[in-house]
Amino acid sequence: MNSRLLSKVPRVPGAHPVFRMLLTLLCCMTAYVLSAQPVQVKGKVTDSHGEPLIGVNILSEQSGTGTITNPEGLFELAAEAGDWLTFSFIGYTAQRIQITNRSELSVVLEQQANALDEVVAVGYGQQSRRFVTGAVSKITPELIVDRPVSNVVSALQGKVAGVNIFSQNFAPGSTPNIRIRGGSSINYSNNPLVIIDGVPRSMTDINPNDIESIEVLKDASATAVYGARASNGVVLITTRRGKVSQRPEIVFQSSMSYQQHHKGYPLVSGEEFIRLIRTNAVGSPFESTLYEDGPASHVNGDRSVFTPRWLEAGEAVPAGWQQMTDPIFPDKTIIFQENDPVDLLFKPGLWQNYHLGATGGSEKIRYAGSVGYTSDNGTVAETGWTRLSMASNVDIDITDKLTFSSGVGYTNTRNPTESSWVNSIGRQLIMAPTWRIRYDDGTPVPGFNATATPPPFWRETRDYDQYQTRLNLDGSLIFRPLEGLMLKGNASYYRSDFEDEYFEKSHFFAQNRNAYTNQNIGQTRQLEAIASYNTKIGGSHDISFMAGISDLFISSRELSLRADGGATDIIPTLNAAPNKINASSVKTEESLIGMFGRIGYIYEGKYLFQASLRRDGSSKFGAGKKWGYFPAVSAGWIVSEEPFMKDVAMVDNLKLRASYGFTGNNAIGPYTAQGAYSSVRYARQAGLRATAIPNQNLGWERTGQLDAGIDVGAFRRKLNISFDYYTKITDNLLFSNPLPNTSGFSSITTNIGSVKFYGVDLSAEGTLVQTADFSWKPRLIYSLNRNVVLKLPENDRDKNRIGGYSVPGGDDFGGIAEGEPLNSIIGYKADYIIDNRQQAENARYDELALGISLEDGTAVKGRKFPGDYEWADRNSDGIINEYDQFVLGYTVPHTTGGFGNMFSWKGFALDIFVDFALGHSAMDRYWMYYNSNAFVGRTRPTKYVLTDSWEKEGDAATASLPKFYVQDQGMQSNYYRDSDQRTWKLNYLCLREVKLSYDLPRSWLNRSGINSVNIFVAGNTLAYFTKERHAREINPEWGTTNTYDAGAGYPAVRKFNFGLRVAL
Amino acid sequence: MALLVGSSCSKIELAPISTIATGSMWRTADDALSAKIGMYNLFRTAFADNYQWYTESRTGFYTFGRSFYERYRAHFDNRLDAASLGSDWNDFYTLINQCNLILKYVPRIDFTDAQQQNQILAEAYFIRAYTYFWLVRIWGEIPVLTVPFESDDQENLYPVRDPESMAWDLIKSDLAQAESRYPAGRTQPAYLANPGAILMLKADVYLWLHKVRKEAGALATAEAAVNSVLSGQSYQLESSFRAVFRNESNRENIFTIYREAEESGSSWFNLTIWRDGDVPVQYHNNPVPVGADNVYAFSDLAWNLLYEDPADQRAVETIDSLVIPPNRVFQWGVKYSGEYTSQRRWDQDQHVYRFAETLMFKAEIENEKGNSASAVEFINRVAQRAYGKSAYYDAALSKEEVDEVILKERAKEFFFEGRYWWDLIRFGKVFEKVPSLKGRENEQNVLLWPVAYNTINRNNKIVQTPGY
Repeated sequence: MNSRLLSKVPRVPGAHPVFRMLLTLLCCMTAYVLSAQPVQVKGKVTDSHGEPLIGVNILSEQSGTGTITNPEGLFELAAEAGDWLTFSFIGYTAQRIQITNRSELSVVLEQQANALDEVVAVGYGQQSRRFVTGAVSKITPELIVDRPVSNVVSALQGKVAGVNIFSQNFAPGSTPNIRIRGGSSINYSNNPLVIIDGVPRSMTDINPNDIESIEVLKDASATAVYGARASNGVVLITTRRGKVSQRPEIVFQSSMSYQQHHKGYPLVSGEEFIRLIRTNAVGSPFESTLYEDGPASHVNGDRSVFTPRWLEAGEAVPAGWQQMTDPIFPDKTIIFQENDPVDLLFKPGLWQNYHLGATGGSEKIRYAGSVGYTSDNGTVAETGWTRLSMASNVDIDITDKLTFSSGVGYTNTRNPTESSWVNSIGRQLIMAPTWRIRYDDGTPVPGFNATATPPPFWRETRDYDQYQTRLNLDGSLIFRPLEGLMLKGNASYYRSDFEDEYFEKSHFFAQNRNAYTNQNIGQTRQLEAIASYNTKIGGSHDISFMAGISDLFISSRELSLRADGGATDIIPTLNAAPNKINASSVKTEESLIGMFGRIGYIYEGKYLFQASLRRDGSSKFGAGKKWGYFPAVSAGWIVSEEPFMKDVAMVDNLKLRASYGFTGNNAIGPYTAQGAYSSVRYARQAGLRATAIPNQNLGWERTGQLDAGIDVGAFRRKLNISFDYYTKITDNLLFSNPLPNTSGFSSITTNIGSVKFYGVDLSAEGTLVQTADFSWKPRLIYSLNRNVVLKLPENDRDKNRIGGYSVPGGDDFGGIAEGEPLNSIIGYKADYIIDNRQQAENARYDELALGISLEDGTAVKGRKFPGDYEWADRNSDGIINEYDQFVLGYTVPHTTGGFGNMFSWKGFALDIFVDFALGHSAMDRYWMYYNSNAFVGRTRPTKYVLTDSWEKEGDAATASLPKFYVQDQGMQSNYYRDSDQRTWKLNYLCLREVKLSYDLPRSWLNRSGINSVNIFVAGNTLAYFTKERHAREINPEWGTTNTYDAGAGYPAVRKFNFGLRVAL
Repeated sequence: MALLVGSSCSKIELAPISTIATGSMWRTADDALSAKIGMYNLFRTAFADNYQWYTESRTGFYTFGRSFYERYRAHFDNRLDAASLGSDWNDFYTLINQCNLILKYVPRIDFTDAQQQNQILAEAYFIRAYTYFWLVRIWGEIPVLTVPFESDDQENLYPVRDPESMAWDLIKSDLAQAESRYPAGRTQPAYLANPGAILMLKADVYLWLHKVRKEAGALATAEAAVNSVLSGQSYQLESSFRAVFRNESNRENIFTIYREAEESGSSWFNLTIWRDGDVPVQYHNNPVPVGADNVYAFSDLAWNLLYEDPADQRAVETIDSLVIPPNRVFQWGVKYSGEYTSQRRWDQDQHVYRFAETLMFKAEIENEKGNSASAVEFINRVAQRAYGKSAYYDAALSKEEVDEVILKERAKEFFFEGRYWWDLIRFGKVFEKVPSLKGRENEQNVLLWPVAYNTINRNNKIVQTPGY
């Protein structure tokens, strides 16, 4: 019901709003009754200043006919009484007006709430975007809903300036990592604080469709009010709440995706494998393995782990087997089974999401409730994840001054998964494809040891499930005794239960039926009281105050139970296992108390000032160091409000802003400062040993951040640009300082040194084309972030280096050092491939080379052969050893961002979005396992070994891989060392989203009572474009130095998605 | 609001629940007992598996098994470098720190039973002496630390390598403390330190001091220690060699390391048995033990030694083999191979000192004094159990011949028990008997070890062992 119509209802002074509403209803119903009479409707459409609007679309819902306003804003249309007319014009809020028997209409269209009037959530309050002086990015739902993602973090990738999101593991239910402006710490957490509806929680809790808005607070003035834990930025998530409306809005969304995995390295086939190994084993120290059971030998039997063997005289090739001529005994035929682990492990999976939400409200009670269900079958056989979530927010006005606000959220996830990614994916992927998977009778083959088994055996013998339940309850009382004054008290309780259950059936390697279950319960209890007051003095002074206190208590309890010896495979629970091995419980607690306040002052609507202060006390730090002060100030100047700017028609809005402030970080263990003695066991007696050295001087880590920014809106808000330059210096870094190995402890957590993170954020969005039917809106996000270590405690090393390598004679490298950036990757560098005997004899002594000659079997340590990499000699001492390593790259990108284009034409919308990351590398351990025929010859090389390896003199000009050796770990360590030959630059551009959606025309839905139907088809993570070919064959988002588990983890997932959204 | 602020200070004082803050420890006698058990737990971590590097894999008795682990070549060839397994002394110093904590704090605790306090201190002195005894023989110059580390601004947090004499002085004084403090009449199970263990360590240390460092008067001290064990009459040889290893409460054990699958998990011995997939199914544990991996095989030197006399009941209890025609050979270790009940359980306690060694020490000492006949008598007691024959060795053997016999019998008796390498050095025959060390007497510090890269990277005041 629009305001125009409401104003036509006779005003009854003092009438109760509800009465007025009823009267309006009556009028409408009357009008409806009068329908079916033809009316010639005429009128004028103007804007709120009275100016005529030209080209306004007017559509009759019943007949589907329409017209547009002429240059004077006038229109004329034949319709029927009772029909609804829709008036729409780009940039203005559309109106629906019902036709009565009156034929003259005067319509005023309001300009659409522009970006400057939007309300932005800031810490403990809200501000109008116009007056924000900090660096705050707001994301509205249309950027994140209807994406085939299970949690909202994935949908944010590349969409927020200054925020880098990357996934290390794409398993169903996993969450990507978030780094806001690079984080602030060296070896402790860089995760931002995530607050959902005022409570610190996890982002995986909610179905993305429940989100009303997300604000990312990036600079000190926005985050300092959160003091502790705010150094890595703050993400504020607000879920949908009810608003006053006549009809409840009910939205149903359903979406389905077909998922496939991104392929990894191309690997040799069974035949290629057998040929490669057999020809290279001849003359090597491992030639005898061809005469024993093995992946490329010819003697395997029916019960062997591997299949290849010679075809007997007169025997026919068994069904399902392949054959080839033996490359070393050409008169023999080898037969084998090809069981490719890639085919066994990866299967396309289905992803589904269903969500039903209702919001509505009267002036007294406003509500929003929803139910969501997400199910992800993943792309690896027998893994999956389902989530059921329910949420409801209710706001009740008890009196016109007192409001009660409540929220309830419940999430239940179930995750049948694997207890170890390394054992269930990593070790299986690298296996030779000639292995046997099932015996002739169909039973699964156990493989050659308990942690390297074929997929069917592993999966049929182990059951592992994870469950998580999360519950959030919060309630607030908001009291507004006077105009501008608000008092709020809030209490919330959040509980997260994680359980897992594991059961191993009796099998070849272990008949004891190992079973365990763990339960982790985390609880957070928060009490807050806030007072805020806003007032305007003298017409040009806007003052606001806010003050509050917060009491946060977090506790966790872990239970572990383990037993074995059960008698049956049918009962997986521990009651059937009589041999109780372990029963353990561990509890921890932490407490955080904060007091905070903020003052804001706006003069004449264009000069902005803000200051805030927070004092936080944390139980984690040593005596005398528990309290920290975190102040911040910021200022802004809305230049576009100045008289001299009024004539610049191009620029609608120009704001300069700057801020400086301090935030803190306490993300260490709850008792780190106090040291620890932990319980151990000897001869079935309980003992205690010193496990952590105390540090009573442990205190807050502080980050001081300077931010200078400029916001520009131009061309009647068709172009909006926001640019920030920032620099963050963290002092008293919480750092795990290595201790000498004679001290009894490996490290101590201490405050040392300082590190700087700095960069720029840029976000630009605009409307390039806007006509009545068609619009094109590009947007660009660009973030640059670098870091450098400023100061470390004095030690005797150059640049006060910590960790890394101490090279005799100076020139240390690795670890962290003053003046150097963090996250470096260290390894050897290859100069060239040795091509001939002459070069081999002149090559440098290589400590990792065994020098075993294939000609005479002698071993001369350090000797090199043609086909080896000649490594670079860093310290020019003629010897290649651990001290000849270099910085090969960094694991963290320096540039990230995204570029999107939204096209709309009539009811269609097309959104194409790419995101990118530049500057990071990864050293892949699995490249080494594949290509060096590792694990006693059982691993399977990549196809590159066939095409790019050095084989004979002269190949060095074109080869990029060294000579292939069977079981290479025992030879020259060409692969078996950290080097640039397995470090890939991961610069990538990802075609992240392509989405086409269509809004069904209103006229189709008219009589059904449905407001809108939107159908969409989308693709997600469709392709990675990288310069380095191998970067596409692993996960280009990695961002970690430990690739052992990361390499074994789930590969990236490509999705093809379709769905619909219905609003009633 | 005031309520929250007022009680705020105490709200952020939280003590740990599942661990003990260092400031809350060392209050009662129970704390001391718990710390003692913690010390043994660390003793097991430091010694139970690591001894293979220092005393077994360098002896020439081991070679590559079915699973070729290139890293072990350095030990087999005696060409160690800073990256070799065993070069990091981290576990030893963690244990020493725990001992130092006990020695600092336990005297300050009130005990209702004063002798219990002495006992705990004696055990800590014993363990510390034992640990330094190994450290000094392995690395030569080592940091000698007697003060525990409790904060990062302590003096000597970054120590240098001290002269060997400092370590030996500490070992001697710690042994004296252990011996004098241990309350008379109290005894403990063999897996906890007891008077017999202290005396055996003393004999071991002083024999070394006499023969390797040529210290005057050391032999007499060693003799006195050994005689105390012999006269104490608490120990005797088991009649079955097998029972020494399969029966955990036998009368021969003087000091052992407790192992149980739930506590200590796996053992280094799993490198001497076989992987399931490498052995045809019908031979699994019948007789080829499976459940791990075959990294170590045994050299001809080892086979020839152990199987020299077919009557030796120790041979088949130490290592064994199976040949499947035409040419598949499986060899494996037996002594500490545990048992297989649906999976392999490494439950056998490991021997640090046992009575057979007391007899062998006595023989060694007698021979040093010139009483070869008396020496042979003691050797024959061990030989009797082994070969089933009395007077196996001729009493008329010369001193040099008796030395050879002792060395050989010790090798057969204590194979896998971490004795032979020290024996070789003690008898001065390491360059003669170990094939990969022949002719290498002049290589500087070849018998010692390099320190790990990790050691130097964390403390650059530590210098690498000269020669490496």
